[in-house]
Amino acid sequence: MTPEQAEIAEMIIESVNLEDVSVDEINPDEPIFNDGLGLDSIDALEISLELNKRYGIKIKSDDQNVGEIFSSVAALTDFVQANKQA
Amino acid sequence: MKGLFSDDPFVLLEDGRYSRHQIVSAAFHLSRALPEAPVVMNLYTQRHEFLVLLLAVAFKDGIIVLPPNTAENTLNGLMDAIDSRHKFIAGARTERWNFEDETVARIDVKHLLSSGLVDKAQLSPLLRKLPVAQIWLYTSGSTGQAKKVVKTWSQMMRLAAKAISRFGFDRTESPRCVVATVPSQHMFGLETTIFWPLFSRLKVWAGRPMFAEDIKAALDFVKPPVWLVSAPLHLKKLTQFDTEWPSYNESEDGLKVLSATAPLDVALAKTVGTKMHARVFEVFGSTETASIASRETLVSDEWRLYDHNCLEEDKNSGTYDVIMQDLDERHRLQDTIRTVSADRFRVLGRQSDLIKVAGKRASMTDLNRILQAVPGIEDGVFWRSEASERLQAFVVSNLSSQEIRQALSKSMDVVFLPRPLHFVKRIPRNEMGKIPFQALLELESQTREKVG
Repeated sequence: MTPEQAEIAEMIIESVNLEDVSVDEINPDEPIFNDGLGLDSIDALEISLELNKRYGIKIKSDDQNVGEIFSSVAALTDFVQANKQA
Repeated sequence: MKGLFSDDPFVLLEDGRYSRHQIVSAAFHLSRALPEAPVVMNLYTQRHEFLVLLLAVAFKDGIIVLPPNTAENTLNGLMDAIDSRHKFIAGARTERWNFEDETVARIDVKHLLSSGLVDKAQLSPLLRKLPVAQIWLYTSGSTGQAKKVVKTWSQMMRLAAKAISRFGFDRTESPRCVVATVPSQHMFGLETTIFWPLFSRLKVWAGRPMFAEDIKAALDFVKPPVWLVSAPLHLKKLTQFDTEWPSYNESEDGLKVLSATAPLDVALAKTVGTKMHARVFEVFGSTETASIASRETLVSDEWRLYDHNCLEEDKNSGTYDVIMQDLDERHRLQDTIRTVSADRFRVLGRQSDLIKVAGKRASMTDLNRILQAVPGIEDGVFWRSEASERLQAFVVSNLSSQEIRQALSKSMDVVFLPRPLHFVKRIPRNEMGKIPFQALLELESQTREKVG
């Protein structure tokens, strides 16, 4: 896992109260929702709120495909790197 | 039913609009391709797609099944329990689930909507079938034993008429548009995005926006006056974004927010009202009853029953029944309430075993049973602290938390998954096998110390 991916994994754990999961348990290429960590749409909202606060990112469903952005920690990290405000 | 031939804009999309007449016509085209009396699980999220399928199935004397959640086991369990040769699932992106190919119907709703208007003479005989057509909904997202609630179109239409009358959705001045974050598969969403608009002058936004920016974009697009239909947890998150919500002119009838599924607290209602420049309303109801009462949260904490509804106390249990005199229906309420006058009441709380997370209802007993049944879990118990809306759980197990979550997500709605999951050496059961409330409080404070 790259340091950027670890930062995103850490953010997910904090924002949806998954303290029992450690960063190294997360596979950056596995799905975040349903099959992976079992997160739901309110969690997605929570994570998007955190992205808004930390990186000034405003996620919209028509930004690519939200499903893709949230498909894995790796995909979310790429999205953040490409869209964060300086 | 004559409103269903209207050619006025009804469902709004970013790149178009559909009238009621177009949607009913598309349903007519679809119905010709359906078998007699099909039983169809409707997983569509776009309101017009949902509605075309809903109508088409009713035209063929069929039944529409609306699942309480989208967990694969729930959907398969419901389908397995249906005794019909003509049962199938339809929705967008059904490849998300591992359904067997033959159970999924591929429907090109966009094509159906452009297949031409059907005249009144052909549609009328089909519309006459609507009142007896059935919709199956389910209470509780927690287990495979969710209780089935059967509503006919006739019931839904008459229930809708009460809300339409309360909120004045039938008034002829500029009709409002509904923008909703709730799914049409649940009673609150079914009412607000389908039945209220279909049988009033309301318009409806096709999408189900979730993120703050999506909701803002939808509000910008549809222009006031508009109703934003959502739920407390979602509204709470929305107010924390730095989104610039459309600011409506003081004098114009701009945004109204409608919330349900759990009581909205006054502080949150105030924040929503201020940040979103909106008046905030709530409806009170359940899957069994649909909405039965409303209030404007910052004006009064008392709920006012819709017309021709009344409450009757069962003196033995202290619970109340809502009686809909005009519909010949009576339902037991799950909440503890106190009547204030013939048509007004206050809600005091929920009966203890039932909990709600993100608008989904579950029984703690059921959730604990599922948790304890996971192979590799020796003992476990769910717990809801004062501090969080979400559930936590204590478990005795050598499994990893991911393994436990994955096992649980097969059998319960993901909103109930523990956040967080605490591993403990033993669950403090007493000699009767029960777990005293105080013992759980202590367990929680111990685990918090460990984390901190």
